[in-house]
Amino acid sequence: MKQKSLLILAFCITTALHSFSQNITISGSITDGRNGEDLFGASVIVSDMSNTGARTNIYGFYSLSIPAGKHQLIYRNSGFEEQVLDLTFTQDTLINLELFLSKEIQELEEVEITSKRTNENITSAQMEVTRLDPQSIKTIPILFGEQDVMKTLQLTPGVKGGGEGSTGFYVRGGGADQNLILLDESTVYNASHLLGFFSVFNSDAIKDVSLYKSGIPAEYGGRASSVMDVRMRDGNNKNFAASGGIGLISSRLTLEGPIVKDKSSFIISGRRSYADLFLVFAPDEDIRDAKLFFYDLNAKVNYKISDKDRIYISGYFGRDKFAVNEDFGFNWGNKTGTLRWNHLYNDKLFVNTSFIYSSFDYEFSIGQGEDGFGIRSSIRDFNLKQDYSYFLNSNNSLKFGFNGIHHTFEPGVLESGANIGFNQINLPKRHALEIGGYLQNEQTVGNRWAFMYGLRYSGFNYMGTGTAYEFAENGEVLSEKTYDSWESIKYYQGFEPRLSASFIINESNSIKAGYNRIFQYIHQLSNATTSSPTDVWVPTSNNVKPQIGDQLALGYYKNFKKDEYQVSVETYYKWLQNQIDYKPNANLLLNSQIERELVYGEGRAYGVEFQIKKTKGKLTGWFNYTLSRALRSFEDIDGGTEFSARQDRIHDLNLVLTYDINKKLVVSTSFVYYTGDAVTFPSALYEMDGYEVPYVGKRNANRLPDYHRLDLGLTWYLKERKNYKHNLSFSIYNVYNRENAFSIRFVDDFEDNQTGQTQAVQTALFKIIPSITYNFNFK
Amino acid sequence: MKNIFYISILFLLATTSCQKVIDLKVDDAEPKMVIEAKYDVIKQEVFVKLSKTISVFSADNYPQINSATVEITDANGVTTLLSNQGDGTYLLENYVPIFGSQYKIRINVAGDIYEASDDLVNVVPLDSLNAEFQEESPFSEEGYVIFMNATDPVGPNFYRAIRKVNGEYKREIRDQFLFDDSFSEGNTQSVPIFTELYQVDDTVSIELISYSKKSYTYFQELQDIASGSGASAAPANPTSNWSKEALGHFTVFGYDTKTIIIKE
Repeated sequence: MKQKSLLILAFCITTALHSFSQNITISGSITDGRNGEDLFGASVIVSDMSNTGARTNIYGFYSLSIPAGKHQLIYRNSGFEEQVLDLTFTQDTLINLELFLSKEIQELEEVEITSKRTNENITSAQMEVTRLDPQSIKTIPILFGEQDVMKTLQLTPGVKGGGEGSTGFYVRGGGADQNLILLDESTVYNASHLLGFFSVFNSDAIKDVSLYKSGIPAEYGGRASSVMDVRMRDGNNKNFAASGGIGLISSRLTLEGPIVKDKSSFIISGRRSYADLFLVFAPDEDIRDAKLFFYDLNAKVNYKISDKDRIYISGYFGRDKFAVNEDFGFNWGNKTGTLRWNHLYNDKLFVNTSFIYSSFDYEFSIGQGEDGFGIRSSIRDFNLKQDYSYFLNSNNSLKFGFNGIHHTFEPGVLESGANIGFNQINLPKRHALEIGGYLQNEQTVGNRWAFMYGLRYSGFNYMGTGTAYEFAENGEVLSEKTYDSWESIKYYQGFEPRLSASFIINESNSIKAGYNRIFQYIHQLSNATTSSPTDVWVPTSNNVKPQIGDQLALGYYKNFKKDEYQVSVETYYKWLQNQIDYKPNANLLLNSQIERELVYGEGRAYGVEFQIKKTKGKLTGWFNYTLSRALRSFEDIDGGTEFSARQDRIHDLNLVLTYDINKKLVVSTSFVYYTGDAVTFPSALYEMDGYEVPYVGKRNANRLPDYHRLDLGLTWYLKERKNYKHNLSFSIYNVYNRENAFSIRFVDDFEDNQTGQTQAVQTALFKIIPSITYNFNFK
Repeated sequence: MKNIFYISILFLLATTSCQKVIDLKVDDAEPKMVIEAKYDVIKQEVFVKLSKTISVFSADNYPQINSATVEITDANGVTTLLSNQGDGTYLLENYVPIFGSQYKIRINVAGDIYEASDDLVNVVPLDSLNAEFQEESPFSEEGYVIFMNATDPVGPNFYRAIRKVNGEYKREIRDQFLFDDSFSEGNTQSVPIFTELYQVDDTVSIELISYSKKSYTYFQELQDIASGSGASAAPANPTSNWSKEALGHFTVFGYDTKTIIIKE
């Protein structure tokens, strides 16, 4: 950083309303002095008043009420140089402050920066939130050398990956569709690229990722198990900058800079994979001509109209394409767009209004023109949302707001060429309006207690245009009724209490508890056991009830050695109602009465998570172990006997370590171990119609072999030039070449099997995979 | 269609993935009764085979059950006994069909009674076969594709095509070709069979079976499970139409046959 010595605070004081009261309000924003990005979770502490302070919201805004007079304010954000202001306050004051990196950090700029106050894990009321800053995970080794926030989240306690070849994930025994994934407030329906090997989140464009898995704040709703809130960067408003990386199977480039210095900036970031380029080495000419790639683009601009108003426009567009000749094509992708307006009514009341668009669709085509046919399906949302933060006083900060999402589901359209003889199929679109409203207070009581309590109301109106069916036990249609546009078919609603409490034993010990109830109104039906782009989203309807998730969690947190080591134990119990599974041999494709293929049941999950984290020094990282169960029961499956959910991994262990050898070299490693997934295997064989047929045993009564894997990474910072920084990152995935099971087949004709006996044949996706990526940063 | 996703996944992984035989412990089920019964109305033959399940990694043969009495009853209530062949199978020949009626089978194994029924639907005629040359593609070599031309009668119809190539029945699981008229209700249709491509001078016969819905569903579910695609949303045993939870099915079916010799 060139302005190392200029630890200057951009500092402005404006006269606000004259205040007659004893208390005055100090408010403003805290930003990163290097690039003007808002700092989320930075704190302001009044050093002469114990336990008085404030933290910035996601837009970097804070507000604090204190008695008029002389005070010392400390502005603090982990990894940044602390700023101390000694001032006499006589009236409401606006302080916009920039923080710069601390000296130690500046020298070794690429090491971990966590944007948390170092003991925030102890003092905040919120149960443990897993927060990742893409900067902090740069050196963690990952498949194909592409850093990925979703893959890294799967190394944290309570979060389990969907298995190799999947970016779907499970949180505390919940289903893969029970995670609300937001990108700048917009729902991302399918977070995977390239058949699951990458997530849709381009780390270069991301500022911050927060994963809430218990005590979920009332502002979020709609998914029963967790919230993953991803925020895009705003773009550097000081200088133009370019950064990027060139890897073996993908490359990326980010451009950012001010439009109007300190007022307006943009960022645009793109990625393109080219795994298919390797196909030129394939022996078969047609495979050489095949296409298999994804690209995505993140873009965002913001403009500070005044000190009270700021506008953001951000969008994401991504597409995966797979094609063989012109005869077969398959492509899918998400589009999101968010228009936001931050407005400061006064120095205590902050409001954000958002208009959000989100869609996901997939399409495949076989043959072309008259001799071809294609199938497509989509979901599309429009969402209007308003969120208020009211900083009542130094002990209470209120949040309230509302939103309404209009969903349009297009379950499937088949379009066929004239020569094929298929009729055009156009499954009717389905419509719904999902609404929510909430009120929440974060309150400190004395020096030891902090509470966050709130209530959310949610409602779901399944509505026309459409036809509602009523089904008999055997799936026959009993009755049907058509509805006009916006006419309500069925309305569901519910109150969702949210509660978190923390008791601070002392500076380095605390106990926290949380409870939340969440209604989930849209559900993902999966054609397969792993997440795939052809999964279908369906609304709650006259037949499908909303899923309800209740969770109780309790945690103990302790920091050692000036917060260098953080130890936590969290335990939880989760109840899930109205879970969805399928009737035997359910057919989900182009099925206009998909609801009759469904069965409904209950679930529960419980577990205990241990974690130790080292946050400072040359060696950093974490180790965690989770002991947990995830169970389901359905009246129509094995007579209601409770069975393991696929993700019922009893033991789950992760180790992530990063070591700075010197200023040039950083090494890292990660190790993963978990109990194999619960799966259904054949439990006998018989002969029918000339075939040997497996007899399917009890649901998920068997296990895949245990999964384990070790990865290594090395980042080498090359010699810096003026305005140019670059590094090479090497990684080895699956160092000891473990063949982890992707699937197991039972066959009698594998390779040279002469016995005629059935054998279990395991398919593993990845053996050892080395990779190299060149990353650069230009200013 | 769900397989397309798996084709793509396999395509991607063709170069990196690896397979091997592993030792695996499996939860064994108790042996269950297995009954395969069919009435082929073109051959006018009723055939029943009785056996039991064996454990997954067993080297044993399937047990034969020779102690049963098997009888078939038509819609008029006339019951006829099948003759015991002594190898676990039971047979009745020259049994004349009544189309559009229901047949019932009753099996007595040491006092345990197993019953099932199926409907004999009218046979949809196969109008003709034609062959079209297809250039080499990523999924296949060059060769001739055979199209079945038939007029789908109004109302739900369920089909299965069985192929005989140069005098030999194609009986691999991938040769199974079941289809219904949900995409082509009431149309004159030309249905390609992509399973295999043929060369000049090949003789191909197609038997186009017309099934009851129950039989069609059973064979479709059987194909899903027997092809071992672990991709099913809910892997399950085919819905048996036997009482007492016996595995298997009783089907009554007719078919129309056409033959084509591929010419240039």
